[in-house]
Amino acid sequence: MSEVFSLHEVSYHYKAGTPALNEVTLSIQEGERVALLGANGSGKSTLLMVMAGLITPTSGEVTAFGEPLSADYLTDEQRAQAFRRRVGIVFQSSDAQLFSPTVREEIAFGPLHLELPKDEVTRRITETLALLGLEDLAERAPYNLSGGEKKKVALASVLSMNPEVLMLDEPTSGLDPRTQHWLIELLGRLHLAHKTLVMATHRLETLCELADRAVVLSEDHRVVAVGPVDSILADRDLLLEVNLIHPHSPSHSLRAQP
Amino acid sequence: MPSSDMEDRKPLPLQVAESALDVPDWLLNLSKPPLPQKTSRRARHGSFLEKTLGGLAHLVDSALAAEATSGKNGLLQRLDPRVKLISLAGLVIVGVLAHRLITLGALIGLSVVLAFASRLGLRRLAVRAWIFIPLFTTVIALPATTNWVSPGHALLTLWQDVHVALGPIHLPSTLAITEPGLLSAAHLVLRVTAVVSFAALLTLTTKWDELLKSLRVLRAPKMFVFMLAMAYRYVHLLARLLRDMLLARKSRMVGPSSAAENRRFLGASAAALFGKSQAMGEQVYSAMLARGYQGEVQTLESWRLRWLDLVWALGITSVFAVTIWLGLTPGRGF
Repeated sequence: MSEVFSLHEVSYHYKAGTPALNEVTLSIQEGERVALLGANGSGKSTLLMVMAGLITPTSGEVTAFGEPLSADYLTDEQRAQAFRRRVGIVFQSSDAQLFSPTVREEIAFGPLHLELPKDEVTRRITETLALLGLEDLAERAPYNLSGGEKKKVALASVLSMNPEVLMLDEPTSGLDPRTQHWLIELLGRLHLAHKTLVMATHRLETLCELADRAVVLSEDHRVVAVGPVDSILADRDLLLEVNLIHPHSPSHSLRAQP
Repeated sequence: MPSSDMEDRKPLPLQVAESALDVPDWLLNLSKPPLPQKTSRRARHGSFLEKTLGGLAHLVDSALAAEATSGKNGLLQRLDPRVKLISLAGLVIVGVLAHRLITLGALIGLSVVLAFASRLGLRRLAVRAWIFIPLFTTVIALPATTNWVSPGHALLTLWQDVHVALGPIHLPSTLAITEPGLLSAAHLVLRVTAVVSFAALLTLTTKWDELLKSLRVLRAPKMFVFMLAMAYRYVHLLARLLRDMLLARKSRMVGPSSAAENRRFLGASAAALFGKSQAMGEQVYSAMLARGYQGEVQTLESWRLRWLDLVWALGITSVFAVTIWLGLTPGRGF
């Protein structure tokens, strides 16, 4: 397996000085399913943004597919194109992700920028709409949809680009149980197809089904543990320390459902 | 995919392996376009996307900075917001009415003293009040410095006996910077600088909700204050939303976008933002009504005039009195 992302002592501070990431060192291999775990405000979303090359860390080094992912690297047009082709990200806020006038155009945006033939773009739109059960919403404005529908359109808009690495920020939040289960199934199929999946979440209930390895971020924005999901979920003291569970949380709720 | 990798993989839950989910073939195809090794075309620096992202980040940062400066323990921050609003508004009026360069210079000097006394530092005031607006005013005032607009004693002759035309506009054959022109331009630039300095001091040292409450105390119409409050809140909410939308677009941008695509995106995102802001506005207003809002901004601060406010009011009143006396005295003017 080759390395997809490598981060060495990466820190990110907002301009006002507020820290979001503190000397994060991390490695993600091809085909892995990795969950970034942490309480609200621990820096999970910022970490995804850094790996997606959308923001540049204040200090430290990020390598993607063996190449240094610096601000200078992404100013090169062809490199930026190749990188965006391979890495897709679904934002936590679907509202932010949706900017096109209709659902159909939202899904077409990525494939059109990939400069795929028109027939292929049309096929991808049709099949993505069918996959997510969005056919009836194709001509609707995305901002008028319900929360769950928006989430599906946001996911569809990235899936239609067929990225090799799929990043998802709080993938199951705002979804009803049936759609959550459907998403877990879909991610399972993508995993079997050897896609790399990186998810930021603070929900532990579905973790066993979503990821194999977990990276735990503390409330002071540092990586405090990396390991198999089973052993991370078994470490109650660690979960308490990073504010992922409350002392009164039942342990059985964290285990994978049979 | 190598079969050895598959064997290493943790088995998936049964329902996934047996799923009847109809995933398209292309989505299960692992495409790996190689990353170019050598630097090719440079991305266009200052593209509209990057510029807009930078502008939005600056807007959020400047709001955070103003929040931080209004919480400092300086002279203006310690004043009662009502007294501060009235006195700085008075100084703005003095700045507008003053006719002598020395008075305008003294007012700018006063703003510097107040900036230091309020622990703002000269740099922050300069960035807010002394760079862009005075520079812009200078550009506007440039024609007024010449004999074309202000005839009089020539200080510097730009050209003589030359016929110059800017399209249908014919410039005089002799163009010079004149003394009255330079003086009137200096008046305008200094006046703008002084007035903007006091306005900047007010916004840098007063929390937004206190400023709105002060406006209500001064009998500003309720609807006007409410619209200001909502506009300020939404500017920041929408700035964050727009920033996230632009980042989302950037993450899906594979090739460079043409001007036509950018225009199309701007139109679509304007419509999307309009829809979102309308929905958000209705929700926020309902939430405010549900918690007892009746059109009046309520804050925790209960204001009471203190000695510092009285001393300040006395000092500022003296400044007004002196300037008005100078103005009323024949032959002096202010």
